[in-house]
Amino acid sequence: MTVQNEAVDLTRPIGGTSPSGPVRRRRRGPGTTARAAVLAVVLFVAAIGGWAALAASETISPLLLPAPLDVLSALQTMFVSGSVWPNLWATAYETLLGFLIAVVSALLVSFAFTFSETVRKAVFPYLLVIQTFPKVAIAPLVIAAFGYGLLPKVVLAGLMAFFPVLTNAVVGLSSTSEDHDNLFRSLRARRWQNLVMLRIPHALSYILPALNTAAVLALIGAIVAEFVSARQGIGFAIQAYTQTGDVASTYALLIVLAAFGLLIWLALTLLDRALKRYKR
Amino acid sequence: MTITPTAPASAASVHVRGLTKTFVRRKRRIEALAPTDLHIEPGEFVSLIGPSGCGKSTLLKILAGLLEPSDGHVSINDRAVTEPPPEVSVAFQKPTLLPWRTVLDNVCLPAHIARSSKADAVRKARELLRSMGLEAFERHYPRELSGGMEQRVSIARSLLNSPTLLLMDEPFGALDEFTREDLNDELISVWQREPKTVVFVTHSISEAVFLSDRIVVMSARPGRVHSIVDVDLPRPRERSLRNTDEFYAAVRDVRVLLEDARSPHPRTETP
Repeated sequence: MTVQNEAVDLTRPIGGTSPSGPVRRRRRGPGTTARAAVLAVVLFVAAIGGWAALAASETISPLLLPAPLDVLSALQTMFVSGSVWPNLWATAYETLLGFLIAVVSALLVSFAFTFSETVRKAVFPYLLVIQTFPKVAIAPLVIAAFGYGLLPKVVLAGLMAFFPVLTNAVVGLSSTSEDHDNLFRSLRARRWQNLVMLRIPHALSYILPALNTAAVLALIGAIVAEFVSARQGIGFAIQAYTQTGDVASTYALLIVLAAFGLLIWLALTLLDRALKRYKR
Repeated sequence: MTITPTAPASAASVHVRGLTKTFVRRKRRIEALAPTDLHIEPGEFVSLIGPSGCGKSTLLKILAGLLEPSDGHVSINDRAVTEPPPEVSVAFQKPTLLPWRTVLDNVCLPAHIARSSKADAVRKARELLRSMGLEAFERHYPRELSGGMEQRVSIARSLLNSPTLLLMDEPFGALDEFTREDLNDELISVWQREPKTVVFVTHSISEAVFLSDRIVVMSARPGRVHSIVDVDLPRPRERSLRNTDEFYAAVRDVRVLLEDARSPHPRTETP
């Protein structure tokens, strides 16, 4: 509902359909941003409209494609009854816990690597292999190993998030320039000073983008683990709704998931902005 | 405007005896430095000049303790160099600033690493920045500065710990002629206020003549000292010196030696 209000607000001043009044916002001119905003709204309206038309025509089974309004009311029911919260909380908890553990341990391992170039060079190829390996494939194994509770979800989420952070951190920590290394040597910096004052700040511009990837992967890991076996969580609920034929609720959960992903992205963007000066 | 005199300005002496450096690149031995002898008196300003590959940067890195010699003896203040000596400071060809630190924090880096008093470091850093006309930029980040300003910050940083030996590896090589002359003026006025021994690597003959007491002309393959020229121009030196006949004569002398240093090895050599 808020989305629609926003859409109307945005179109009015630009399209000129609004009655000219004091409410009208001043703009410097129809710049690219404004035109892009109009286009974005048009695309949104077109997509929803197309979806509604397609659903109404029933060319696609309502078991696959519910009407937008049904999805909206399913979403409303979910929030009014509060049934969404335990599921959202479970998935958020698994994702964030897995993400945090992964980031902290990946950073610690990458710091350890800076103390031995031999070890780094020996282990790094394996890390690349593991990183390209689709880790969701071992979800059933992880469940078998860690049981049915919270642990396997956190493990899978963490496993997914760990490698992109590790590889980027290792690359960032080992890519300081020879001049900077010589500067620190000539200033008789100790090893830990070289790490804390040179390598870590330098590596931040590599680590920060990896955090975005890692957060998305952690969410995927948690959801997949829930698909395999769970008693709550968004992944569990999606499966339950789909199997009972309540597809509108499934779609509603997808929207919740998208909103949650957006929230994570927003948090990381704020972090990114706070650490702006470390960017190259 | 004056910099308060810091601890008795003692300058370092440098002794190099039978120094050689050989690199192995792609299974081929490259003689970067043939046996080299060099003595530098405390407070001298000495430039190393020569074609690329003459080993001047190699020599500088060995003096800085950043590179190990293959053979021979190097001592600073009669102490053998085995690691970067504390009284030595290096200014690199690139400014080598840390992009996430402000100008002031970059200049304070040596004190931060040495874990010495922060208040003293900030006071000294501000003096240095003022003498280089950068006092208004102490809170700026390096990316907001021009190349010349970055190099000024780098030089201010190399002076923070009041080194008794300053090693400079073509610090102005990447700058345009006018900025380079400005920085030469600033360097020489800082040096005249706070005497220290300087070893300065450069490609520019006029820069070497303007700054130095002695110029070491080197030749390549293998890198070695070709000749050493005394520059008998009066001090203190100022910008106007560049337009005098004596200055031109000195530049001409060095040019002749430099051409001679290059001539025994014409471009025909192929490995």
